[in-house]
Amino acid sequence: LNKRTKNDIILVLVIIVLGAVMLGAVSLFSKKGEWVEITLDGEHYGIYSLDNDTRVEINGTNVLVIENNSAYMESACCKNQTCVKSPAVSEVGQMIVCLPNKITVTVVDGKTLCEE
Amino acid sequence: VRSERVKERIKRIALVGMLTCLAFVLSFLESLVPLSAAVPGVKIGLANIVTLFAVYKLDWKGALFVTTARIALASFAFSGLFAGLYALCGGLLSLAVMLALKRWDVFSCVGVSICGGVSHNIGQLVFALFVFDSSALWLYMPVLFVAGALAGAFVGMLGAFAVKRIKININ
Repeated sequence: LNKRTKNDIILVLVIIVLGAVMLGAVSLFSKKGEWVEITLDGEHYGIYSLDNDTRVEINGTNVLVIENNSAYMESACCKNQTCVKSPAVSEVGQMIVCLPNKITVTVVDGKTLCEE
Repeated sequence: VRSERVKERIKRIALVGMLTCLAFVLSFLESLVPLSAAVPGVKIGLANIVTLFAVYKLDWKGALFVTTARIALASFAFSGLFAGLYALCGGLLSLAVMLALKRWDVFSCVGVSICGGVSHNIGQLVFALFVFDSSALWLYMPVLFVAGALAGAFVGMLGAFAVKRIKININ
């Protein structure tokens, strides 16, 4: 083994440790949200509880589905479908963004709701 | 003597053009495989094999040209302007890191590529933080960090093979 290959192995070990530490830090800080807030064109559009399974039609362009305490975009009228492909959100701060229709869906907890 | 220099220049121009084309084709091939749909932002980055090759076989100017031209072509042809800006942020940071590490010369080709992959994802995340103005995006950091290292390792092994086997020396 030459010196550079040894350094490579050290690098990989450092990255594994750093990744594990960051994963621990993130799972420590993240928590399940209680509500999803929807904004349209930067303006507040509505807020829905994650506890109740529903389908929300947003402005006639997108459909958001809430089930099993998480939310996902079921359909969107736009071409790229990025928000439909993005994974379901359930933890505080996670969001789904639909750029063409200027819609954001953000998970919030009860506390931030009161502050606003 | 003069014609020798002209020959060298022509060889260099041809190589840079060929590498740009190859990177563009690899970008296109990867866009056909919807891997990034499973986890947003996670890709192998096959085109970075060419970037790595350019870092080792060309000077920084050539490598910079190959990278930016590939990203510009891909964004005009299929990935879109917004994705292009994303890719540019990651691509330029990763290129700068790889050029610096190659000069520092403590890692092999694979180690350099791993650092390139990690810094690529960090660059994209920082850009996303500016665009979306949402600190919650930091939650993706561990995933992107590890994914960048894995992709970098894979690209690095292929790139190391190419650098070793393809005998070209142009400066």
